[in-house]
Amino acid sequence: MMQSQGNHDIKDQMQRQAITHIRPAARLMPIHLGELWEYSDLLLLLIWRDMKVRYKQTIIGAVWAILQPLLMMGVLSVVIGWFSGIKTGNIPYPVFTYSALVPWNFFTNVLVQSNYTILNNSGLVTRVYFPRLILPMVTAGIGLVDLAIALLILFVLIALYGITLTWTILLLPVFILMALLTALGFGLWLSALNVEFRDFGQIVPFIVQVWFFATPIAYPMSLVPDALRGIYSLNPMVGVVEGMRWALLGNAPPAMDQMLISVVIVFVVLIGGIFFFRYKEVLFVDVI
Amino acid sequence: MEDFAIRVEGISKQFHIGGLNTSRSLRSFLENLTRHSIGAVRHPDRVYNEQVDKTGHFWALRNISFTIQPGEVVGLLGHNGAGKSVLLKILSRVTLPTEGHAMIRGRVNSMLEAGVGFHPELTGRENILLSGAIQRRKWPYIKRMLDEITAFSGVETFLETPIKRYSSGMRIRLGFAIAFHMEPQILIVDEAFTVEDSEFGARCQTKIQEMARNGSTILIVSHNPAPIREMCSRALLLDHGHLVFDGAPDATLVEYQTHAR
Repeated sequence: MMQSQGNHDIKDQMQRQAITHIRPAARLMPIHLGELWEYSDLLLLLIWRDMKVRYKQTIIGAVWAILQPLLMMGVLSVVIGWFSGIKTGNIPYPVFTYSALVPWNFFTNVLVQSNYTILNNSGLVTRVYFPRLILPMVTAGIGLVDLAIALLILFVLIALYGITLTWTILLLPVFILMALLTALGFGLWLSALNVEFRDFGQIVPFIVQVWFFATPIAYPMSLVPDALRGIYSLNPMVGVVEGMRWALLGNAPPAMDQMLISVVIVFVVLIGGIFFFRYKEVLFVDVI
Repeated sequence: MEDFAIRVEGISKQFHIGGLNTSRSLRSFLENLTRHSIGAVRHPDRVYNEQVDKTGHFWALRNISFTIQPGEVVGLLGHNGAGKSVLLKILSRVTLPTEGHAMIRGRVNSMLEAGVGFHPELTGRENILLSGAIQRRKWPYIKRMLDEITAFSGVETFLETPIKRYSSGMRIRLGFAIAFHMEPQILIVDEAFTVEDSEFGARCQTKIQEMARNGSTILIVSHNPAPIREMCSRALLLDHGHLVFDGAPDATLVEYQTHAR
């Protein structure tokens, strides 16, 4: 009796189930947002897994997440802030540079890690179905946890230097979101490209070093010559960094036209990245 | 509405010889680009049977069609390289077909290997939760099944131990236990009974039969004739990428022996 009941249930369920169609790859693969949402559990668990595993067999564990940007701030404060005597207005140099290092480290960590997100999860990719888009999202999500920790330290620094927050702090989530979308956008391209062309894993750390100097992290925006402003504002991290400083330190607000260019570039990279990733993901299993 | 759990219509899968399982770099990409443009054939010495066409493409599956009704337990037989695993990968949506169309009604839980997604550093309990999410099951469900899964696998005492300390047998048992407790509407299992432990193998067989009675549709690949004969109501035989026989398990097994290569 019980068994026939069970039998009926599963058959009933199946009748109501939507049909999954399996077809050859198309150039333009559709994006199923509802399905991504269904896999949000997996997204969170994979972030948790990687966070948990990352600091295994380290002595100071998660302290590394704090130490990394703090050490960088120390180095920059001595070498650039003290030696070169760059003026950062009424904001002390260490806070000035750290406030930019927070989104910058987030961005570069996601970029570098994105190269390996598919390869590191090849055991999953070659054996079970799930929306592959989850994987670059996991990488960005891990970066976001580090960013939250680094941001806490930033608030401690702000308090120590006696900087008063203004209403612009309300805009902080907007610029964090912008940093997230920028990192995810570039991360999508790199995670798809490095599966096939492992060269990207080699070149990205170098590009990131150059990119660092093309972003106003160690120096203020006012030092950039007017002639270069046009090219300079093509770098979406300029908008992120300037926006973060404005929100946190009450710096001069970023130029609106520059911000607009940054936003447009971020969305082009992101949406292009999603479709490029979907186009390439069908090959992962055969190429890994 | 027509009744089916899995319907496969003219599925083919093509691989590029030499393109499989090799990591490519920008250099090899550029090299191939130039090679193609001067019309040279890739790896001409590796053309080894009729599955390779003139352009150097290997057809792992060729024009496969069949329908599986809800509640059927179907065995999939074939010698090495017949295309069994590729077919399961296509139905599990791990890889896409080159041609054809397949339809699947219901949630598929596939186990192409025992313990997919296990992380060596995580404990048994943590890996169960993770595997459940991979198999599209929500937290509350997995938590409810936790005791049953651990009892089935017999790893109770090691639930809080990292998987890397498990013996390979324990890991495989835990992997099977998870796959069998996801209440699959459609279960796809590869190499199900290469389990060393015959007592555990028997327990798996009982569990599969129980799932079938509860209405799950099951597709099993096995090299071993005994479980196919005992569990399946039907068996398919693949040979060099073609579906050559579809019938009762006993008849298919006879055919399987004669196709020995």
